[in-house]
Amino acid sequence: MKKTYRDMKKSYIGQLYLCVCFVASAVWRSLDEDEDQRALQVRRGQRGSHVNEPRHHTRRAQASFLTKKLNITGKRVNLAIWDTAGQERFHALGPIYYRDSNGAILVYDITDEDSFQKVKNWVKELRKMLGNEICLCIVGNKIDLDKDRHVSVEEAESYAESVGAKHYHTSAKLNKGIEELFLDLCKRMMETAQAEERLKGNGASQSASSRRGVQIVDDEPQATPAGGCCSSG
Amino acid sequence: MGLPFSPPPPSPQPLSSATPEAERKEEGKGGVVEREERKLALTSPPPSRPPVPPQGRAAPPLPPAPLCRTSPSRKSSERVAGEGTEREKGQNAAKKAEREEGGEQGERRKSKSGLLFEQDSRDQHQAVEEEEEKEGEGRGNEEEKEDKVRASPPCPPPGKKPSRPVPPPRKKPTSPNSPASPNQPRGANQSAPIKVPPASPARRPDVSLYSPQGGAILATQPDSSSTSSAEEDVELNQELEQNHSRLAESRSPKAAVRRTSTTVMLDRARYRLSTVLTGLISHERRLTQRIVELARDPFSYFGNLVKEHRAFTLETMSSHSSSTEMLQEIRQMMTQLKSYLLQSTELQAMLEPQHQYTQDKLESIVEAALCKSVLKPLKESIYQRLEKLHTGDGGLKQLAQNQSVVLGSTTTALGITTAVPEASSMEKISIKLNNLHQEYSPQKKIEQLLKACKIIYDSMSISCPGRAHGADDFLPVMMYVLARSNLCALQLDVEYMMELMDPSLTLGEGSYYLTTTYGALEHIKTFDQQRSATRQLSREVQDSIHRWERRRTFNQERTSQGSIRDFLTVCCPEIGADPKTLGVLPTTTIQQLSEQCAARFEQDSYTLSVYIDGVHHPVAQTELALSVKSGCQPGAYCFVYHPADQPADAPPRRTCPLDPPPAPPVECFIPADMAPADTEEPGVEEESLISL
Repeated sequence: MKKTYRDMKKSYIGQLYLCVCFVASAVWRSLDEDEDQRALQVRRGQRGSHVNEPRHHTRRAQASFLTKKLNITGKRVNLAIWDTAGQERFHALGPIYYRDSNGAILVYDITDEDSFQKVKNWVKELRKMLGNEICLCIVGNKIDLDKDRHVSVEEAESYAESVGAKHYHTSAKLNKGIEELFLDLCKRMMETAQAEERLKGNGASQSASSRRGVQIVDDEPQATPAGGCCSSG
Repeated sequence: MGLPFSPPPPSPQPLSSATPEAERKEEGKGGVVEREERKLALTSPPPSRPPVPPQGRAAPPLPPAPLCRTSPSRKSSERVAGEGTEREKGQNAAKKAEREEGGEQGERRKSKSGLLFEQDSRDQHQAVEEEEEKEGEGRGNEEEKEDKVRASPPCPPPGKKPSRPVPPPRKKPTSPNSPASPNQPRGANQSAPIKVPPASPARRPDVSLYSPQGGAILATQPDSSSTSSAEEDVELNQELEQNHSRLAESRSPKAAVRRTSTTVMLDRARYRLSTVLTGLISHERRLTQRIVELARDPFSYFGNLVKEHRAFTLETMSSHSSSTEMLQEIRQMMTQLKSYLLQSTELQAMLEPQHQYTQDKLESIVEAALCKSVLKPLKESIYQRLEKLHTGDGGLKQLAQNQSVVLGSTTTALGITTAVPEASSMEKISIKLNNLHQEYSPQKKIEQLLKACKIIYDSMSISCPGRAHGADDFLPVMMYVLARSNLCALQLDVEYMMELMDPSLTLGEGSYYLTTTYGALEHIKTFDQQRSATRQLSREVQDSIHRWERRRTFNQERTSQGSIRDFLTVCCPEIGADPKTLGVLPTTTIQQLSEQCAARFEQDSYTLSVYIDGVHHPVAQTELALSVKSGCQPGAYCFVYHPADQPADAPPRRTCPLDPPPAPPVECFIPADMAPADTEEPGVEEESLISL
């Protein structure tokens, strides 16, 4: 039985492709953990399939690009996670990374007031460039070091609310809060994207608009030995 | 990848469009017919009707090029294509290049046996001779099989080394001599150096890279330098083949070294392995090949479209002031051709029922075929134009200047915190980048880029194994590496890839590293003026976002029109003079077309007329250009843009030189495997095929 082009197209509607971009090597690494296993399987299963280009994952060596599959309310979601160079010197390159994203994760270090200020700059820039379509997550990392906290929970959460972002607490070291972060972000991105679709009406706006990725930008200062506390993982 | 939230192409929504359809009926049949076609193609199971040889539109300016094998290296013929400012020349050469490419597989094999043969003649080794024989036979068989499947008229008895199966239409008019030419390969000029050309300059260093590692590794491991275990079979196969020839190549200089029988057996085993792999993917390859052939067939609607698109692109290339614009237009057309093909009966007729492809697979096959038939002939011209544009705007100069600045900077100044690639890795990377530059397909280029990135990561992790490197670690090293490569070539490559890559891959790993490469290049461009650079770059990059946004809406518009751009050839000021190809949309009126002509011919006061069989034919300004085109008899019409005072009945009463050669009977054009299975409603179908 031959399937027509239309038939085949239809069967894909349940799947979304989103792109995330992020920088936090700390958050990253714990994600990387459970990713390793999966990446291998995918690699084997999808050989020869073009949809996901041939993967060149090396175990652990590269943490700049990653895909993550999530199942949210019965929909398969494929996150493409883009790591943005967050160093000050590369700041100008930000837009080329986040221009197509559906969401961004901005990570600061709760022990470092300065990193929180930088998150604010990022938020400003992202809102200016991408408007309200982008789902922003502000993430206070290193909650295992709560005794050294320099950014108060109230301050962070009220700021997040004021800019229409959501705030999360994570510890990459203890692998706390990260899965929730991704699931929650993913749901929000889907809602936003679907609302956008409805707004445009009758689904005429095909792939183009929905093909933005989700991106996560973190602004953890490079100086912070983020790797130090997590590399044990 | 890149799966939309929203339902796919809006165009085929047969029911909802009832009213607009009724309205459109008055506009001329172009629109209606198009809609009907869509309905047919989409709602009813695709009738496996053959593509009807386009009645009117196939006005191929050229007779099919002679079929003899072009022996000069592909590169040179492509260069000709690039230079071809005259359209015909360009096309002709491009065709040649295409054809050569078409026979690539065959040639590759041939080259292999050629290599072996050469050695054979040196070594007087009987076994090799035998093997070579077998190869020839094997090839022959395979081809026969292929022919059977396609059920095309039997090829002339292939020589020992038959050339690529000749598509029926072309074979007929021109090439009684074609079977003869394949017999030449034994001639002196067919020996080793010939075929390897595209690969060899890049590959040779690879050989040297390998040699220190010892022959054993070389012999047993297929390209151990190549990175991922996840390569596609095709690629693996190619690697194998390349490896094979590399092996032969590396041996040949040491012709003095005696070949032991083990090596011969190894060669043979290797060959068999690659045959098996070839078998696995041959269906896919065959489909690709058929699409390429269709695109090359000037008598098919699709082939005609491809050909006219090429002419149009070559003609208008120099009028684009921005490279992005130029490349986006090319990509646009490819996307449209792709969506046309995916919905067309032509493609349905090519699919073999026993081989089901997923939609994504099918799309990727079509994409690959389109790269070959559309991009490959254009590649050289595109690069020339890109280079010219960027030389003009100073981009390349700036890059070259800053390259030395970056070269003079310490790794700390660049922000590098890890190990940098050593000389041997650098060499491997430059090979990958060199390969990248040679490729014409954006996807294949990206594969090479990924391999290069992989090598960079590997070298980075030498200093601290186990640490995961993010973008902040990678980008500086990337800059370090790029500064030591051919930056200008890469700059053009990156632009080529970014704009021409399959849009459905824009979220993939390849796209990520492409973006990173772009970022690294931008950063190098502004490196020495760090402080002030930031702001300036931002503005530049902001522009790129706007471009991105524009492209998105642009694409959307086009998709929602649901129609493919078509082309019209217009002469000025009389029939046959100075033909130019113009792009038209189904909604383009004669008046709009006249305006286009005014711009293209730089003549404001002229008027546009249509001559059918040399007789002036009045057209209303509001008529749709495409419906005029599709309403005309095959090849009998000619659009002429002429001075207004020229008497209407004065034109030379001769046939337009753009006429196609007299159309042979329909049956000849239809490869047997496309034979009509369902001939109902021929009239509707026929029309709709043509005016989509």
